[in-house]
Amino acid sequence: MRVLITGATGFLGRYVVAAAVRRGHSVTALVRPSRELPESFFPVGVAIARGDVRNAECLPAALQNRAGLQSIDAVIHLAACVVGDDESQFANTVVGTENLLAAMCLQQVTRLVHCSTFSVYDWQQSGRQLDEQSALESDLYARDGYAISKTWQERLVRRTADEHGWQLTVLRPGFIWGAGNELIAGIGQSVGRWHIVIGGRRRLPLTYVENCADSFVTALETPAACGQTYNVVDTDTVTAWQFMGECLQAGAAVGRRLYLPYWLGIGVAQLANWTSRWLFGPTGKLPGLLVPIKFRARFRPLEFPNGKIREELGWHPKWNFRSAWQRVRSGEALALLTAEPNSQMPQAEREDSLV
Amino acid sequence: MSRKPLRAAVIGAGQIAKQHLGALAAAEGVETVGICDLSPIMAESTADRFGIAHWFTDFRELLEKQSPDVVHITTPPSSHFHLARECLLADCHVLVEKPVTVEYEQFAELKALAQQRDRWLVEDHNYLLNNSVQEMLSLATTGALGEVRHVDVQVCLALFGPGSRFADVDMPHPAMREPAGVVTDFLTHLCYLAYAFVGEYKTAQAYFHRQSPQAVSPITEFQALINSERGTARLGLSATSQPDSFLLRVQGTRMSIATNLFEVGTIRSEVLGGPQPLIPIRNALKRGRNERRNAVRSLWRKLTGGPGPYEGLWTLVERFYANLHNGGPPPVPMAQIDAVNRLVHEIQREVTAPCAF
Repeated sequence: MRVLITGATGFLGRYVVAAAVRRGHSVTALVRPSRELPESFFPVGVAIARGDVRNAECLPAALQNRAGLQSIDAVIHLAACVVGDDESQFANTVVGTENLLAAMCLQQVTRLVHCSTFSVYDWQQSGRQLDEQSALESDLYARDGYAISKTWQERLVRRTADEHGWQLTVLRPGFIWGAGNELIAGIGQSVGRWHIVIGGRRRLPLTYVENCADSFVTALETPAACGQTYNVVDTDTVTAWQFMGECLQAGAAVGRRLYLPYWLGIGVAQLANWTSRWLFGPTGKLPGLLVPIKFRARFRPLEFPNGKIREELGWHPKWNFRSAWQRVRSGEALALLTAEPNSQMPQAEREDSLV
Repeated sequence: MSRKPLRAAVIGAGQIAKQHLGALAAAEGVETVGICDLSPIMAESTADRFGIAHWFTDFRELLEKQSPDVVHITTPPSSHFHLARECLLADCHVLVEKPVTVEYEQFAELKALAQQRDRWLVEDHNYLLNNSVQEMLSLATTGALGEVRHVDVQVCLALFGPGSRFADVDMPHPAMREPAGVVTDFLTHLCYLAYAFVGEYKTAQAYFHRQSPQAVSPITEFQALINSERGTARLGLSATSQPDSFLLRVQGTRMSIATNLFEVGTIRSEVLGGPQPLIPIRNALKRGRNERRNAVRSLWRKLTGGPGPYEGLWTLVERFYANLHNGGPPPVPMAQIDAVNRLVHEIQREVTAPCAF
């Protein structure tokens, strides 16, 4: 399949590019004009389209594959802004997506795999588990800029796909981790050398970046994925305490971990919230960790089943928690990013690492 | 006695529009009837967030369908002239973000049009209405400062740091397309603060420093020396100095008073009675007390979640609508906007021949 990948130079994007190339797809990576890339940044054979989703004018050309000869068949849309203030994140993520969708209309590209996030869910309303049936956030503007922009982005994508009869698949990954991105926000809060693990015994909704990348390519290839939404989490149960321990052991963080029970953390946040409302009314402002709705969206102990994506797409996380850490420590995962197409891990090793 | 609310509309749904919409929501006697942006999703999401019933992507449709009394223009500066002109021709009052226009001649045309159609054309001079600046102006007016001799206005912000729009070469901040670059975005603030204390400028000399000798390299440092009708002023911007601050210091013959406009409160040093050698010590003790008090007030302001450093904009919007209802004057007089923009354009002219420090 001829596929354009946005956000291709990002943490997840690079792995998705590598996974798509390994599985025989013709990949065009959308790369910002100012981004300088070493020659070996992508695997051999990846075409680079210079452009920025925020610049509508450059996108129609990017959707023409290989010197404008053939149109792209599908788009994997990963681009999103995670830095800057809330307004900048919104403008870059959502308006960028608006531009991309307009270019897809123009070039009649009708297949889209969109990267959403667990942040779009209402973590307070979820019962004991968070799955694809869970409600979306009902008090959106009380959440942070990332949740607001990703929610609007998903709304826009769905609306446009419905309007034009596109084949849309929405994937919502949990916390994506891997080499260089080990300390995920769901663990807790670091203060200098002290790493406060909030609700240490709760399960983290983790997905190792290679597994996550694999899910995007699987969704792209599977006709049954069209019109569906899937949560992407690995199958292993890994607690926050355990994950922080691995980070310290692997040298991804230095210092010591401290345990803070979830009930104590949310209790403090509630107390701070009530005090703020009592003193300042509804406009009162607190740091994110002391805002209950934001605290829950990062730390609430829930179950995160992945039955739907496993059963409907046949996706299985290739690397379990133990083998994923081995790959992170050994640098194998990074080496694979620039490997030649079809050069895969030995069969025995792959089977050994299946969950 | 209840009065019919004025109908407000906002063109441009970017960052500063959120402050205007917040101020409109807090102001009395006004109803926001529409928001417009070229991006449908920006217009729609902003309408959703602020509870505005109608959103548009064509400003003419907004003007036609919603018939606003007042239009807030919060788009990039290069569009201000065209939009303000159309709004004035539609008999709307206009509150426009700074700079009111890119060229002074464009402003002169808008000014004539506003006067001809008996509409208000107000440029946002928000920091002038911050509480600390109002306190300083009050001290100047009552004579407590003595005669004002000099004003320093200095902004220090890491404007080219990671994630900054000024440093984003793929989607540059609109100011980066102007010859003065990042300075363009702040210059109006610096100029109206100086004008408020020392009046209209007579001569101005500006100095610009670039990161590298290439003409395309961004200007990172700026200083201007102004000789005005009632004193002198030094305006400055540093895009590399830290920590972030927006310092205003007014020097009078009886008192020196300073404020950081990103925070709350003022610091004074004044002529005191008693033995001369003890005066600096007494002033230092007093400044220490003021600094502690200001720190507490700044923290309090952050926790209240209000407009923060944009408190002046909220006051400006409130006064705009109150005065429009009551037949009062515009919150920023046209003569002030005119004088400030003459200075802004005089300084910008000098950027074509930048001088190294």
